[in-house]
Amino acid sequence: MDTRDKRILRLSLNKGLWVGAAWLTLVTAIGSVHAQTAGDTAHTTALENFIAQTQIGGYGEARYHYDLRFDTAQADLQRATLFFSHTFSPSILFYSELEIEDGKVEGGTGGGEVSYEQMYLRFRVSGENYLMAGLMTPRIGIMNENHLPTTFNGTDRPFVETMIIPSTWRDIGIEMQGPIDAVPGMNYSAGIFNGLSSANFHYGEGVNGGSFEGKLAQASELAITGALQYYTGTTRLQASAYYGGTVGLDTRQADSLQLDSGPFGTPVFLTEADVMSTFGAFSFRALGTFVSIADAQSIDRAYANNTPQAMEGAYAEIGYDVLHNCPSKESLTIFTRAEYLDLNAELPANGVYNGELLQRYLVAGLTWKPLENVSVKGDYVYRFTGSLNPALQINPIPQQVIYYQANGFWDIGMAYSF
Amino acid sequence: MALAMGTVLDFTGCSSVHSIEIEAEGGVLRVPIAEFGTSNAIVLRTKAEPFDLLAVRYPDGTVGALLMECTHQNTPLTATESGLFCPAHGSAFDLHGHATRGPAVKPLKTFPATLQNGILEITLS
Repeated sequence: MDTRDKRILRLSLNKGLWVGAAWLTLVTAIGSVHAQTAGDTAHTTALENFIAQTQIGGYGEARYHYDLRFDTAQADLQRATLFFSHTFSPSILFYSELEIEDGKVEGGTGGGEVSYEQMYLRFRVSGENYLMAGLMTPRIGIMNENHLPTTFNGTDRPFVETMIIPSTWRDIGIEMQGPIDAVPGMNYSAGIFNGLSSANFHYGEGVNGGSFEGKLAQASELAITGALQYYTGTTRLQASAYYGGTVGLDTRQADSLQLDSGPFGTPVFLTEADVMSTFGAFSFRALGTFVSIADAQSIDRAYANNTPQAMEGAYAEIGYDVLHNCPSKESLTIFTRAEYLDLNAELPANGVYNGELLQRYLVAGLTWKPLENVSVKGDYVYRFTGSLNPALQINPIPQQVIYYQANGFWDIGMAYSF
Repeated sequence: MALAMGTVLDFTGCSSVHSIEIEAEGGVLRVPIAEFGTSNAIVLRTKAEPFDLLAVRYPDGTVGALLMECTHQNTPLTATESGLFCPAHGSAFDLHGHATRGPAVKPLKTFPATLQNGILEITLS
């Protein structure tokens, strides 16, 4: 092989190498592109599935509240909540609500709260019967299960469903829900939850403080709840009840405080009935409730929190949508609500009566909804109570805050849900 | 409470949207129209769908079928002759599946439905 031949061979080899390298690059590039596309497709499919199976929602409300007697006002981002739900399969769903109250949480200061309002798994057992397990708001009253601020009038939740029936009352347990096929339109709900703690009842707040709300709950005391709900036309009727123990102490501790422990020891019994209806432009809702704490005397002796033996409350509200006949989704509802509640309807022998806890409210206002899930609200609240028990006034006259049996409040607020 | 319950039971004749269990054949539910009785709607429970279906007879003689799953948070709905209602957050839908009260805004899933020779046929997806 002469020099020329060697040069031709070298050029051929170089050319071959270049061509091979080019092919290799091309094949690698194509393979890479192909692999990337397949990976992207798989990734996109997984993402699409996740998006299809996962829902995000939420609600929030803010309010400006003006006290006409004291000429003071408060502005508050009352709550902002995020929902997350995920459908694992047609039979299993996860649901959660995470809430921040009062806009901010700061150590060492009052107000503000970060908490789960609900977090549960829902299993389809058979037909339309579902078993739910986790942190839940049992079906008690109107507001506990449905507290979206765009679904009620007024900047405040009804006072009866805040002070007598705790607002967003939740505990850990299991609950069954479903239809009663033998009675078309009727649903049932039945559950068992951890009970309350009577040690955490506070004077003038009913059983509100007793709920553990999912945080390190004593669970040797239990509660059972049940509700029947009936739909006819555009009307819903409901009755529900709660019965649960309030002492989760061991026997020795409970005996030393002369309290009954065990699953249903020192019980709270609560019952309510309610109705919601719409007739054309008119909407109506009403609720009545009664709470019995038979062993209130023992609770007061142990914890000195002036727990009442009975509480009661009722309210009725009527609304009229003046834009009902407009073709748009916009609505403007004029409403009025009357409420009555007594947080010391019956007291044990060692209880102290306070007329301040016998309260009547008259609320009137407007709810403007430019869209279904956006509300702008304004209302006037007139509150009238019984007289304050002078024995409960600790401060002498100069330092004493004047108590007015009658007072009024202006509120404006906004709310959303999605 | 006993009084309230008595009142509830007195209403049972007013809203007779009863339910039946039914199996799909080849992806199609076949319901004899006689099953409706005097009602304008009937709840169909089938293993082929994760939620009940509501079959509806409209006043103009046409028919329809709706999935009874709330489009807000996947809650099963309750049906009356006036519409469908969500016990969780209060959403309401008319018998065509349109949301009439929030928080739900999206309409219910519908299925093709035809009426032939007295048989309502619903094609499942």
